[in-house]
Amino acid sequence: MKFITYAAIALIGLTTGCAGPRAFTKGTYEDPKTIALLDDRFNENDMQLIAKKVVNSILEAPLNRSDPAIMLGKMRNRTTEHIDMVALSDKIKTALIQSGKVRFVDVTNRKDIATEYEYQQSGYVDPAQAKAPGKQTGSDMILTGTLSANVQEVGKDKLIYYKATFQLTDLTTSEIVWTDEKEIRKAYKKRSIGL
Amino acid sequence: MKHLLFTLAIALLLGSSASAQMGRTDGAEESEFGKGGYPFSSPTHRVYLNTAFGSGFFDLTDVNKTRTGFLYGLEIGVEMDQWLGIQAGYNYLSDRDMSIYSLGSRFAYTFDPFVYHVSLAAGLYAPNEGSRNFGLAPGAGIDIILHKRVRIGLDYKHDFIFTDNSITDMDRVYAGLKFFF
Repeated sequence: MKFITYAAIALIGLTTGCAGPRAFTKGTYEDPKTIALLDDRFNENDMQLIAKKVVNSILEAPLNRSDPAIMLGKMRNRTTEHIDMVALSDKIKTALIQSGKVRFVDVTNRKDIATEYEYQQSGYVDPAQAKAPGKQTGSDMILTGTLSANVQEVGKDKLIYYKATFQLTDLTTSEIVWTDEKEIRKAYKKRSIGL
Repeated sequence: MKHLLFTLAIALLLGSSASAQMGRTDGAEESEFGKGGYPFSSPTHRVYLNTAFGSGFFDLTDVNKTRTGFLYGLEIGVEMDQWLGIQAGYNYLSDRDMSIYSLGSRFAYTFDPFVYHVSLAAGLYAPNEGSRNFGLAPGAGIDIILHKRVRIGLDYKHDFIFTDNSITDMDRVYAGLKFFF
């Protein structure tokens, strides 16, 4: 009987001993729209849910103007996490442009565009093809947003709440012509992650 | 006994129907409620079937010897979470002509590709001749994950069989394939 006990202990020892240094070497491509909550931080699923709500809400809203030109304004991250607000606003912008119902003016590349005007007007470029300032589209509205969070944590339980509020402001009247928010609440339970 | 097994089978089926879903973010608004999870863990509420082939070691007090017998059986269980499962089993020990009906819980720790587990079961030990007795069987074992639905394992159980005046010990060592549904 002792033999069985010793054999069982030896087997456990051997199998544990086989587990040496480990590395991320086994991977698969996954559907990015599938919900995966590996940790309790802001993740791509949260970004997708916020973007979906904002895009659908803007497209359904009566904006008092057809085919408006929108510029991206400040996206504020008021949470304690590092969150890529540019990625979030880019996701919203991409979906809105692809809808064909709104236009966006390029704010990010204004300096590069101005430099390019100077170059094209410098005489190096064929005058018939050279672009010049003065014909840019004027923005009708500015899109801004704020992301805030609240965390409740007791023992093994944790609740994380995000609220993303976006608004469109008419640049002529400074009226807020549209606003909406997306609330996300995630519940977590703490569990052990290794030996 | 048949009634007990039937009740257990119904409970297992009901448990398996409540399996968690991962969910997606591109559905209707608020369709994500209640969805989530950890994609690298085992799905919860999985039914498994474990086949057992091995030996039983039992002491013969009258001749002061240990005898072995061929053991085979079947266990059916529900893994409620990666670490917790309940299982019911039937084992037959040939040399002692004894059927063992058991019901218990199983606690597991996964360290891929190995799953270490300990278990505790209450059992009815029913020899073909002689009286039926109640017993307890703590156990331990290791499974190796071959596929997400198939594991091969080695199990050890020590039986404390409570007879009228004494406690009889028995050891069971068996290997088996475990199939998850």
